[in-house]
Amino acid sequence: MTALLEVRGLSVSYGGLRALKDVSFSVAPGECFVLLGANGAGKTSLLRCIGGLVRPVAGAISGNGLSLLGLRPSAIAHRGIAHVPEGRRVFPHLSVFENLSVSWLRRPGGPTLPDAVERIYGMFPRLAERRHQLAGTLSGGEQQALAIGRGLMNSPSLLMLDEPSLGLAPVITRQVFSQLNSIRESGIALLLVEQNASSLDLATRGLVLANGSVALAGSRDNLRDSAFVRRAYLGL
Amino acid sequence: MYILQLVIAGLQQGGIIALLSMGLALMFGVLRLVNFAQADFMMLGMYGVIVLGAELHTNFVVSSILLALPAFIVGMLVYQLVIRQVAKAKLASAPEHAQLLATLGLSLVLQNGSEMIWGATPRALPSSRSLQVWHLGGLIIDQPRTIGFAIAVLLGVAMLWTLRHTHVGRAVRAAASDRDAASYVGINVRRAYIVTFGISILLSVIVGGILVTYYPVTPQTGNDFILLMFTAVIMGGLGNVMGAMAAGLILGLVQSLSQLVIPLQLNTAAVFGLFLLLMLVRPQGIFGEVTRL
Repeated sequence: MTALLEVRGLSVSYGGLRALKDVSFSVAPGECFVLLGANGAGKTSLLRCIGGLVRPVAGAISGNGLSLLGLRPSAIAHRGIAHVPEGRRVFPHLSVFENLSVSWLRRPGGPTLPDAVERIYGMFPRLAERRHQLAGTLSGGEQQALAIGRGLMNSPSLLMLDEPSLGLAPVITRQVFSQLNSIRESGIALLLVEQNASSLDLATRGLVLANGSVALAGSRDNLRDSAFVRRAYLGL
Repeated sequence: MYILQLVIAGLQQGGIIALLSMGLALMFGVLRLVNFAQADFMMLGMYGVIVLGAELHTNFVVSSILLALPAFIVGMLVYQLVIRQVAKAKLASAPEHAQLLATLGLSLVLQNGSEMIWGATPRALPSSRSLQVWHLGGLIIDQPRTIGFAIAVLLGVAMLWTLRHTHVGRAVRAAASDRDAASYVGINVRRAYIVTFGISILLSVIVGGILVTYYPVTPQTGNDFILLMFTAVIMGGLGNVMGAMAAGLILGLVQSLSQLVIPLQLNTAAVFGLFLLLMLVRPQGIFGEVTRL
């Protein structure tokens, strides 16, 4: 089976400062791949690079077997790889409905805008209640739901999420994770970047980034059982 | 009656400033670009209408419509060939600084280029209309200014409506709000920028077409307006298109009504006095908080 997303030997530098060194992994259809790492480990750089905002100095990225290197971020989004950025980044002065509608792409055979928006409202009833409210006035959890909903507007095959639990209360984090689990069960693969090791509950596989390189990779149980993860992330 | 006459004159003048400032505010709000050449494109529109009137004998409305598409295309080309390249070339510490200087340079080129072509002598539209008025009760209503005001308001409202209710308009607002997030959700940010620049230039050129019916043009005419435009944009709240529209109308009214209390020659002082006061009380502008469309 070809991987949804394949990253090989990826290196990223910012003005001589190495952020990522030789990172390789792949995400298969329908799985949840978790990237764990501390602040500054290179997690966000990795997602920005896959999303097309940062050019790598070396390595290859392909989606469904086709190279994604050199594509504009919007073109990568159109290839079915949606990116929910760190800090949610909803458009604060646009309403909930407008936030969703700008993320919609007219495609032959694709859903109409009202259908696509209704589908998201079905998944997140809170957003339906607040459809005319400005996104900047939503609570953190609602904004996260909106950011995820925005990512799902064009029925991607892979949803990349950058620390969706950041700044949320534990109970809201659990809600977000359970929503992510149902999204995965609906067949959309997840690439989940987290510092929060409870995200491992969702994972099929994953890796741990430290100082820009892969410190550890494997199945969920491998990661959970490793002394490194237990010490650094689970506090055991 | 005299006051009403002044209000009418103020609104007519304000409508022009409003539409000019909306273009400038849109450009700043979306591209974070301060365009010093904005009023010079208006000047080009004025010459354009004069030339078309002489060659094709079209009136100013038809001429302005004919100029709209070329203006839009020229705007997009200027963005693509000048503004964007300058940002890429890393000529200054921040791309915005290089772009700002580029628009200053552009302003010089447009002014001196126009002087080469048309000379420095003021030119006016040889139109019988410019003297026609309506008598309404005791009021004297200048026809070209009123038609111009109507066009300005119509265009301004059309632009606000487009930003609010069309897919392109929402995409432009999203790109203005958060460039990276917009590209993540699949918006082609570069295209949104190019279109915004084109529309903004188009607005300036159309305003020129209206203005030339009663205001003679020289290559430096833009300088008469650029300061008022920036004042309106800042008063409205930087980058706030609706705010710029409101502030433009207010400026026109203040300029006109100030004659009631101070000598006519000081009407510009009244405008900037009000501006200073407003900046003391509400430095973010009338509608401003942070940048928003």
